[in-house]
Amino acid sequence: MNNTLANFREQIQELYANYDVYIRPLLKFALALIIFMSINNELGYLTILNSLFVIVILAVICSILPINGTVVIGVLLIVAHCFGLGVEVGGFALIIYLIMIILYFRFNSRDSLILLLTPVAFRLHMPAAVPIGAGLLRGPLSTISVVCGLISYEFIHVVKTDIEPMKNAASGTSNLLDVLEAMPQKLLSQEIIMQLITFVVVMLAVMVIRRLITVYSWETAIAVGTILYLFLNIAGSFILGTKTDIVMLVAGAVLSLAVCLVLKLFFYFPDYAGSEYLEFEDDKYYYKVKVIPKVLSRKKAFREDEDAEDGEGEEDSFLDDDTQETEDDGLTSEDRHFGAVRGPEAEKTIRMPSEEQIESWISRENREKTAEKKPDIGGETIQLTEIHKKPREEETIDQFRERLEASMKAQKRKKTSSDKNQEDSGRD
Amino acid sequence: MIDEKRLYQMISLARFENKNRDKALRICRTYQSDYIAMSLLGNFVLTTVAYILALALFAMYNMNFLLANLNDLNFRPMLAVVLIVYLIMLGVFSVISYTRAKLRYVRAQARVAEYQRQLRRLYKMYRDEEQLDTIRRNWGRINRDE
Repeated sequence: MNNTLANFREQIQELYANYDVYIRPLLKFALALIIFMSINNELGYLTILNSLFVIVILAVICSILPINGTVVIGVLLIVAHCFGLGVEVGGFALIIYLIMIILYFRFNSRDSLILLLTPVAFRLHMPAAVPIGAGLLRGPLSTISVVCGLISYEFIHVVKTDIEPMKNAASGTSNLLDVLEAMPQKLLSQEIIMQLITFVVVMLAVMVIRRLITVYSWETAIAVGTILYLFLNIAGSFILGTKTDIVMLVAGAVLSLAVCLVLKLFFYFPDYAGSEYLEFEDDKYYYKVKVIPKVLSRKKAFREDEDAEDGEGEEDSFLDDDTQETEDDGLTSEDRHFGAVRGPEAEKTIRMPSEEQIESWISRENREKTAEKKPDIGGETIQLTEIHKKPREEETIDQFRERLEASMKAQKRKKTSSDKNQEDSGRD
Repeated sequence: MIDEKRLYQMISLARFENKNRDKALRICRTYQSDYIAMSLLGNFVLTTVAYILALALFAMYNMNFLLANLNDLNFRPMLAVVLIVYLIMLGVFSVISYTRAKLRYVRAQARVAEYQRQLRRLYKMYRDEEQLDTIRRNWGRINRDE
């Protein structure tokens, strides 16, 4: 089961890696479309913005902007719809969002998507996914983001359920001051405060459990978070005397649990069977470390085992004769060393190597001072001339590597034979 | 023939420039004191705006009370409370802004220093290749002379 999931995960990752130029804008488009459509379904007071054509255009624009662009456009959409209902409602919406952005999101813009994801999660009947997901993936400061997201949803809900009837009252004219007074008071009602407390407690509990050094910490955190969410909601409704649809609540919690388990698959996928507990010490500290390996797909794990077979480390790969072709995709180990991945159309797609790889390769090959860092072979250091260390114009990397290795071995033989001659002459 | 090592070095440098053009490279163009001063100035303006908006929200929440007691309100202590809360809020957010700006600058400086180190490494590669070309040309000339 683990191996199937690991293979599935790796296939998704490879698919994303190969086609990310297309997939990323498509995902941003889909996310923006879902967010804007749910905002329109909830509010929809400004008819010009209710058109699907406008929403699609906005989503296309969001697909080329960064994620915060989607947040800005979504917030403007909410404010615009509120202005459609009434100037005082739109002004209040603008004030609320400006305060949240100025006081918090300008310092932590990474979490700004929660402002719009929370209303979407409520609309899809899985509100628990927000605090549990934030507890799994974020830190304690993101509690404020979750609170802001909940305030964003509750404001939309208050506008729809309380303010709209006031504005559309049978009398035809609504008192501006009544509406202005009602909005903050409805937003600070007991039910909303109870929901805020629920979200904060669930998120903190999930975060604390997730960080424990135990097996299945993430799964435990998700389960405890879901149960805590249900318990607090039911307890809250009992205390406040409000009605709650238990069936929808439980269904939503189960849906949220499923979503969070999928999140866990992509963000944290350990193999607990291979975990080790290490204890060691140095001059300053005692170390007690729990090491849990990641679940790798069978193909990747086999390849890594092959590399480690001879007991050689990664740093020796420069002098290894690793130019033989591997199976399947026709890429050599050297190509893989540079991070090549078989593309579907191109024969070879070179992915950029990491900076550590470049650093290790450059530092080995382009040494200016051979006195300090000399290449060794069999534990002995060999002096090389400048010409030997640089590739010639017409030769490939493999030929250069072979030539360098040959010259190093020749020098070693020369040194061994000269040592032997010295020993023999000494004996004589 | 293209030198692959140099090519990858150039690619990694170009990636860094592309990613950090609006971030680390832009930050390090100013002095640290100027960067922090600009952040604090921006923070002052934004915090003042946010405080005014929060006051407006508070007034909306207590609108009935305020309108009913408008004639009897004692404005001096109210103003004092408003000012004190404003100063406390400004102080807290200024500290947060200062810390954030300083940390950002120091981290950007470290990244740009690494970028410059890699740039010097690229320069050395070009220089090494020029030296090697010189050696090859001289080698050829020596062999011909011999």
